[in-house]
Amino acid sequence: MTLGEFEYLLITAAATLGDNAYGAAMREAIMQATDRSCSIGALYTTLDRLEAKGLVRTWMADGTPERGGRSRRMVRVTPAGKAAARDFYHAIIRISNQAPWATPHPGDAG
Amino acid sequence: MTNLGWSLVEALALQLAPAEREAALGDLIETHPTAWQGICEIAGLVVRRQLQLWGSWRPWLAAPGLAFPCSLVLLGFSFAISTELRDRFFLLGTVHHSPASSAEPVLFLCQIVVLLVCSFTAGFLIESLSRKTLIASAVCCFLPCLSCLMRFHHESLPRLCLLLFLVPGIAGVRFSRCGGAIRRPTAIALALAGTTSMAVLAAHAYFWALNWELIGPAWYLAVRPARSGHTSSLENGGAIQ
Repeated sequence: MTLGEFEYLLITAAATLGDNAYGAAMREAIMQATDRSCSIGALYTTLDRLEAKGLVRTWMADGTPERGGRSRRMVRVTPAGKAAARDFYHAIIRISNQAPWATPHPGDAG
Repeated sequence: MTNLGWSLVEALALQLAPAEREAALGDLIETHPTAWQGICEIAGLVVRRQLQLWGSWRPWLAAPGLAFPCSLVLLGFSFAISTELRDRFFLLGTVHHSPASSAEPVLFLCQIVVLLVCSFTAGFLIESLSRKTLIASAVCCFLPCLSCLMRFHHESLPRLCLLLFLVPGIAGVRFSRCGGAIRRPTAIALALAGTTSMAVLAAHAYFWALNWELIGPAWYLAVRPARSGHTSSLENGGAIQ
């Protein structure tokens, strides 16, 4: 199963957050890691796509006081999702191995 | 975020499914955005969801494929029937004689049958084909109405008579929305009644090629594959399989 970049980011964020993986927490994790904005629209439509592919499972959980008691959409990565993310990660590592930005050159220091 | 800003965000979020609305609004509360950011976030999600819906053929068939042309043709039937009603029941004994008043009662009956059957089945089919894009279908239906209403100037007929077809049409929409089902024998009977009436009208110079589209919804309901029950329709957001 091939993944897109944003799909990989979502799966990785969900896997890293573990039992605390839900919309707002995943957005925060992605924005911190990439230094880019992550819209609610992109997040939830991509989550739907991943769930349709069987790469994640989502369910609604009770809300918390800091979100006005509104329920959260929790996310868990399935074994298929983990395998797809692992494949994507290794592909990136392999293709990047000889890339100039991946290999530190003596003159690059500083 | 101000109360007004939050009210706008919540109003926008009404376009989302209840569970997704809860999750999205909760996420917004957690991140403390400005009103403008909140509106953009929810609007972005709403737009994406709407675009996803239009990736299917169903909204296209329901809105520009059925609502628009059916509305256009049924406006004409509404006018013809209103004229007949005026001439038969309100201008009796007067010197007024329009060409329509000499039409045979059979033709008048056929017009009524076409209006009732075709409006009802079109409304039913439009709603059940694509429930979530019903607003777009309504807009497509009202565009010809608006255009005609603005141009309509008739001494003895009110403008609203053009909208006669909306009564059975809205009844069809409501019937579908409330979970009603049109069984195959009923659908076949409606389709035959509509087709026969249309054929009689066509034989008496009421022929317009687009008129025949009106009986399409009735025949679609008559020949569509059988469903296991209404449950399948509900699971698919009201879409006919």
